[in-house]
Amino acid sequence: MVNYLFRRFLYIIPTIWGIATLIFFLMFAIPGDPVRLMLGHHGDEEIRQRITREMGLDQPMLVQYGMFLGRLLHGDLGNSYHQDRPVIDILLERLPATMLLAAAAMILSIIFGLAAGIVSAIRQNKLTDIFVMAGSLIGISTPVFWLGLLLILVFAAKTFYGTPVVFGILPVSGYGEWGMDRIKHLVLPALSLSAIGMGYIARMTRSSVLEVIRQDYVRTAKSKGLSYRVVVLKHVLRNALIPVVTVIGIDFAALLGGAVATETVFAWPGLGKIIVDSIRQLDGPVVEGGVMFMALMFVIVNTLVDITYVLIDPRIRLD
Amino acid sequence: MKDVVKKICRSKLAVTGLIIVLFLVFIALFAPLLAPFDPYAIDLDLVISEPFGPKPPSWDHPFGTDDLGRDMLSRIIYGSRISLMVGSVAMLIAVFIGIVLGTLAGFYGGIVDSIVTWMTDTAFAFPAALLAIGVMAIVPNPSIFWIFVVLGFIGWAGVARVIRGKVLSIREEEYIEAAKALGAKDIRLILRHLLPNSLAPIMVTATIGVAGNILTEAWLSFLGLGAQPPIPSWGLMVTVGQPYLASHYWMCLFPGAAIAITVLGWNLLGDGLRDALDPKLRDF
Repeated sequence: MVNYLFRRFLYIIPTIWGIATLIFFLMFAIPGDPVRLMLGHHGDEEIRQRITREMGLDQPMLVQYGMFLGRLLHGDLGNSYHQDRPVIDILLERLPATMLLAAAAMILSIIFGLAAGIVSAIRQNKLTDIFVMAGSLIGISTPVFWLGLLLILVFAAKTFYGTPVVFGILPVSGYGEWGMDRIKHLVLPALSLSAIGMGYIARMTRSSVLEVIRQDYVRTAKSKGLSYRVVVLKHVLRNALIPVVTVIGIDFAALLGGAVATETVFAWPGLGKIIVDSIRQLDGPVVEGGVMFMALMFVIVNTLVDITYVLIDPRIRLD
Repeated sequence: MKDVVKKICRSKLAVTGLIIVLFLVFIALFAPLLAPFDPYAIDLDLVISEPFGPKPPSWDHPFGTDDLGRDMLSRIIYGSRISLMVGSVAMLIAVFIGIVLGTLAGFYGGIVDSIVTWMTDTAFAFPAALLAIGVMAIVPNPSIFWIFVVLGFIGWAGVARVIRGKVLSIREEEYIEAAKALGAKDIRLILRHLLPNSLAPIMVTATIGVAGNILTEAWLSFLGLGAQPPIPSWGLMVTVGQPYLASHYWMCLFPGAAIAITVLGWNLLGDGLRDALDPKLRDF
């Protein structure tokens, strides 16, 4: 087991290297001179050349690639053009907000997705099932950013065509103060971000439960005279939930992408917002670092999902 | 083939999805006839007339007008062309690359297979949305054209994986042996036997992929990284409407609903096709 864990964590390294390489070559392909971008129009030609030399931008591509990897090993993602301080500091500042949002959305989608999927499977082809499945299909088909705007429209409007409505209770923008205020600010972004995950998890749970319900051991458990509750909880769910774990990993990619849009809509000061802002400010290093940070989060979450999978399914052998 | 059509027609999901998709194709094809106004025609007189600003839905403008007095309904109708085009062109690129790589990997095995598998694994290790942002952020002028390219080159991995699996499983079948024994060349084996028999999973993956592409295009355009004004892309229209959300809800509501309905249609069709053609694909 320890051996497996070690190998699995070791496997993160080539993946991250691959991601970093991809990003380096994408960035290298940018037409235009980053130094000129940094200095603006009033840059002196001599200063421009000096900075180009200092940043190693006059070196051949492979040398620059080596320097890039070397800096990366030291956690150096370069300096922001716009804020003139290390990218890594900016991103670390933003990381907690994105982690909070992603975790909240994840928890919401797991709880509601599982519940909906189980209910749907147990009431297969009944009205509840049709309703839940339609709902989850709508959940995965609705653009996250639009859902966010709809929530703002519903929950933030104090009046609707002159008629006062009671919903104007939840803040729709910003991060809030630590504590209850933060939670209030979190509700709407987390809710809109959780929709896709809810849909995927509900669909996967349903099909997985339906498959397990038909297994022989479930029939045996039923014919032994075990109560419905025990059969569902101990025999069906325990086995049905195993494949659902993988969906959570896959879904995390959609969640990160969604976070970029959600943070923009709700002015939530996370990684997604800084990426979008930096794109508008032509702040290459921050975009580059931000995308790398998010990819890293994705790789780590998927590694954890893989490990969980092995831990909860004794049938998987590790050799 | 007749059998397949019958199976599809029996699936309520597939039929519902197909109706929505055909309806959208119809709108996209006949946009100039259906749209009551020119989608690019700015009507500033309308905007500055009392009450000032975008006009709410009315008989003349069923979905209202935007901040420049352009008819929202006409823009949404023309927008269907963009979403359909992005969805299908990008998918065709992805399917083509996926078929080539997947077939090569499945058919020849060995080193080719290892390389393709490594490529798909790497592609899956990187969230597609982030890659799209990364690319769209650095191209000199983000536009619809780049979206085709980016989505096409991101989407192939799923197709390649499905095809490789399918080809691997068919490769050992007796009729392939028979064809080989009769002296069929590789290219003939692939085109005549392997591909036609992999059609079902390709169709399912592609249909669901179109839904994903439309959603990603909308999302990129919403972030300002896709279609640029004045193109009537639905995602872009939502961005334009965002500052007006509280006072002029229709500018966000209708284009967003158009995206959701379109994506829903393709997803329904994909689900229905999968259930009808290839029940084994059920869990992704």
